Amino acid sequence: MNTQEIDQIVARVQAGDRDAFGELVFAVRKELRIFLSAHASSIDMVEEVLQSTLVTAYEIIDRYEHRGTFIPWLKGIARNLLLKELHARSRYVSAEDDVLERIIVGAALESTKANDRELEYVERLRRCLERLPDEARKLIQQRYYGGMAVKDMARLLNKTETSVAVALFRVRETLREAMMKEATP
Amino acid sequence: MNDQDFILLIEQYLDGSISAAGRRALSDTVQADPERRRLFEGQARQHVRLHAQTSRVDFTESQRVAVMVMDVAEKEHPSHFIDTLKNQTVRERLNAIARGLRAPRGSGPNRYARFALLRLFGPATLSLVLNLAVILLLIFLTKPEVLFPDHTDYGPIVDLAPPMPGLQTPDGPPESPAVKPPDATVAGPGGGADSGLKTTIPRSPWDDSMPGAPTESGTLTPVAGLALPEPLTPVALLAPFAGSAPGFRNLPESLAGRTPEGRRKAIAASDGNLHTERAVITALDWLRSHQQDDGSWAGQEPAAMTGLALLAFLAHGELPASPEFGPAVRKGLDYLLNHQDAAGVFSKNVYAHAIATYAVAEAATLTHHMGLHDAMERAVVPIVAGQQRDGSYDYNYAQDVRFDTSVTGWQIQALKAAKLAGCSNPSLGPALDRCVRFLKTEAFAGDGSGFVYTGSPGAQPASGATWTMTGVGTLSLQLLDQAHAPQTRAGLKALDDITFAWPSVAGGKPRVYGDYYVTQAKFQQNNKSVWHAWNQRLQQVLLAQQKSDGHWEGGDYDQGSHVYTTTLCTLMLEVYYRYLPTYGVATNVLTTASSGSDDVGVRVH
Repeated sequence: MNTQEIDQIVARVQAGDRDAFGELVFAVRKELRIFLSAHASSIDMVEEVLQSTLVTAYEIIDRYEHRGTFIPWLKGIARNLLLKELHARSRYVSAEDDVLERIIVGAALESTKANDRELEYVERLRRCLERLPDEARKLIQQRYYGGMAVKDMARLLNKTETSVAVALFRVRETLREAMMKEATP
Repeated sequence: MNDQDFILLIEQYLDGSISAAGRRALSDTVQADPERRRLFEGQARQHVRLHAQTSRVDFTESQRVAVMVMDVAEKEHPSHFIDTLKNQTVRERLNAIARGLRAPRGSGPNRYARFALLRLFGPATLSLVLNLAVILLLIFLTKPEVLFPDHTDYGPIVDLAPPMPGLQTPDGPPESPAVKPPDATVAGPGGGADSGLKTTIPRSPWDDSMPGAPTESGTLTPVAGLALPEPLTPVALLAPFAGSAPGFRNLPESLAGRTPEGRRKAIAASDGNLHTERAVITALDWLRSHQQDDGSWAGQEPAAMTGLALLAFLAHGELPASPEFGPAVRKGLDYLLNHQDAAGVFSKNVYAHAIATYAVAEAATLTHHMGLHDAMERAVVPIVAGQQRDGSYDYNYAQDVRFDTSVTGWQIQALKAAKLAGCSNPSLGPALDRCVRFLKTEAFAGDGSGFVYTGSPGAQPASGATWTMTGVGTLSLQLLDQAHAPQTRAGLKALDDITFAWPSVAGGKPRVYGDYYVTQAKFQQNNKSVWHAWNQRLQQVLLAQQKSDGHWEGGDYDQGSHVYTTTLCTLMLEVYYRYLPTYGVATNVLTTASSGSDDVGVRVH
């Protein structure tokens, strides 16, 4: 869907067409989710900030002017909410004795300082995923697209949990290295 | 730890299935080894990105999300509705209302239509109501008997008035006529059937056979030596409805999450989210649509099912005056009050009586409704009287044969709720003290491994703890302000390695009874990492297992109607705001005889 088509839907929402908001959510949800994944510390955080972004956008949608910039406008809202959430989370985990979450939240907060690079990474990840060997891609599909836990995957593939975990670990590392390599001029 | 174990722990951490011990091991290794820390960090970040890249977005789901988003926005900020109304012509507005009224109840268009209608007709309705109130007041002041010819409602109007000096019935002591419920059966404290004492009380407080009953012309017959009550004052008329208006007043600290604002904050603070809230709302919708015509919910013990359903609504801050679920709450409370006998008993089943008391006491706290308060006071009497000398309870409130920690747990929840409601029964405090003593010295197994199901009153079993009863005992002690007691800490330690689960084996029953207690106990423990691990699984499992119409099914002890399983699952998803963790944090787990997770009958996944 191009920017003009999105603006047309936004105009319908602004005129009070409530069904149009469903179409708008459909149009932007995936892109917004990928955008948030560049900096969020967990899947839950992505989903929560995504919902908050949509709520905020709906509340102030009358302020949007039709210039073909709805998605950047939405990302602006999402970024602010995500930063707020990360800072809140960072304060919370530092008061708690949760080493693992502290590490991840710290890394996520750090990544916001290099915003453009991280956004470029998620874009590259999409391309790298397409180039994955079939077996590895299948593994990723089962884990993420299928939403399977490692225990269930092991049962399905008739392998041990450890071997499935190691395979997934390697695929993620391969993807990370490929993303970096693509980044090198 | 070798590399493979490290990698497996990362994977388990990412899918939320890591155990408390695994989490500790992973924390230790990433702190000790910078390279492992880098790998862990990279894997976790990549996990989030991959999830987003591969996520599915379908149109129907997007529509549902959109409706939910609009609901949230409009509930909290109706200004959007107002803006929309301003921008619409009259014709567009009427069309939108017509469309909305045909839309499913609770959907965005439906809410919009109701809001628009309220805006259109609200002022006229208010004026009509005010005029009606003035007319009723005038009638009441001049001829009160027109308004109260046959009082069968909550009945507290004269019940709460001080006894009339000299009011005597020919056969007995001073008695307030309206205290008698409709066609109730007076039963002894043993629960009715066993006492052998049964007396039918006439429906009308002004029974025709009573001296002083109104004649057909509506006037009262003077009776020698009988002082008649004076006409009710307007204050007495309004009193039964005090507090039923929307809004909460003077809530105890632990119930601060029941208000919309409190709920929002509590959800954010305790890792709830819009998904859990959506599941709760859908479940409440299902409960509302499965309420019986008489206000009860179906099951072998309707009083228990009704109590549980009411607790689910009340946990969400739904009161009799709430716009959406208020009528269901009011009907449910009416059902319970209409089925309370003169001895204060809701059901001969001690579980059912305690659960109904629990619900009525919570409703009394939240609404300050005098009728509910009165019903709660009367319901507490048989519970206090039915306690055994050692502080425990048994089936049928039997004495000196056995103790039953499960039965005791529900009585404790009811008594604690009554205490929060300001129960004036002087025996309540000592009864709760005895409960604490019982939990610490009898229900708690001698080997320190947790709490047992049953035993002989006065004797502490050496062993035999189960995870379910450990949940009951631990939460009960937390509710009784014993969060720092060694037994509470040992209970929490025993529950450490349990994860929330739903049997995948055909025929296996989800253990929702135990999970109801353990969820609350872990929440009240107020330990971030423990709660995070439990809550993550809780959400994954309950959200996945909820049926599309909002109910859950198949839980242990379900009575066939799904109400039991649905209410307990709903209460688990309402844990974030139901009782805020104000009972104290259990820290520095003491060493007890329980040295590991294997010495207690807990399930480990």
